[in-house]
Amino acid sequence: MNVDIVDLDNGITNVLLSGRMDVQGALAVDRNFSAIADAKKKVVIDLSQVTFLASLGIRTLIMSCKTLASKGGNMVLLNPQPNVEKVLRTSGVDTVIQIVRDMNAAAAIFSK
Amino acid sequence: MNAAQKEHAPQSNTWRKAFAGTVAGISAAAQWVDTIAADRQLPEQLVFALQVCLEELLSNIVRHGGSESSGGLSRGAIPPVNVEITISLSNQGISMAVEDDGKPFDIASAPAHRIDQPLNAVEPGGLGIQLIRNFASTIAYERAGLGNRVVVEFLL
Repeated sequence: MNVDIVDLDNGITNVLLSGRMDVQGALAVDRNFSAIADAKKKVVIDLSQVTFLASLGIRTLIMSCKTLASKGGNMVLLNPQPNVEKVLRTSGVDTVIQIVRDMNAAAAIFSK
Repeated sequence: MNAAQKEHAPQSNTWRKAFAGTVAGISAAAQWVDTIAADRQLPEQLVFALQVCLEELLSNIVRHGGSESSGGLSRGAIPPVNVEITISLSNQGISMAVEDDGKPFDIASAPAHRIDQPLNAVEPGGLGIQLIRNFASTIAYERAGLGNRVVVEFLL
């Protein structure tokens, strides 16, 4: 699993993930997510290139979002593939981390 | 029939293979299932459901199945448990049996949890079981084979 972190001009941090966020993938990006949650505030997780999501990957997302929220930050999930979105909705992740289709929608959430 | 033939016999509708109960073993099992799925041109959504259940069953075994499980995936159980997976195709769908010689655990009766509380109260445990119950058509557990035997079915 690869992770590409870009700080945008509008204060949003875009985290582009690619590959399988399975056990191995989640273990590989856990340290990146901890650092992001500690240092950033408005975080978009771009899931468009993620082909698989397991419960351990969900745990990584949830724990990072909790850390962000505890210091006034927020996280949104951008454009998951249909199968990955089914995992997110089946587990109820979408009830605590919003799913958006584009960066404008993400920016609107952060501006609230 | 040698091990390689048994692993991937032409025209067979049943495949069986042993894996170590480790993170590397989970990845190897996922690749093995992908190979079977590609060979038989199985529908994408069905393969995804199969992979979700495989991943959750195996990660549960790696994390909790050992007699001296460290509770962490970086080390897993000490020593690793043994896992055997059997995939069977029929006109009705796919059946996957996962056996392990770890601690007895009836995953078919274990509580599943969907996230239904505010973010600050969420403890993401039990989500794997929730995913298995939703992505598989049926799930059954028995003490058989290596010890624990879970069979999940995916109907076409």
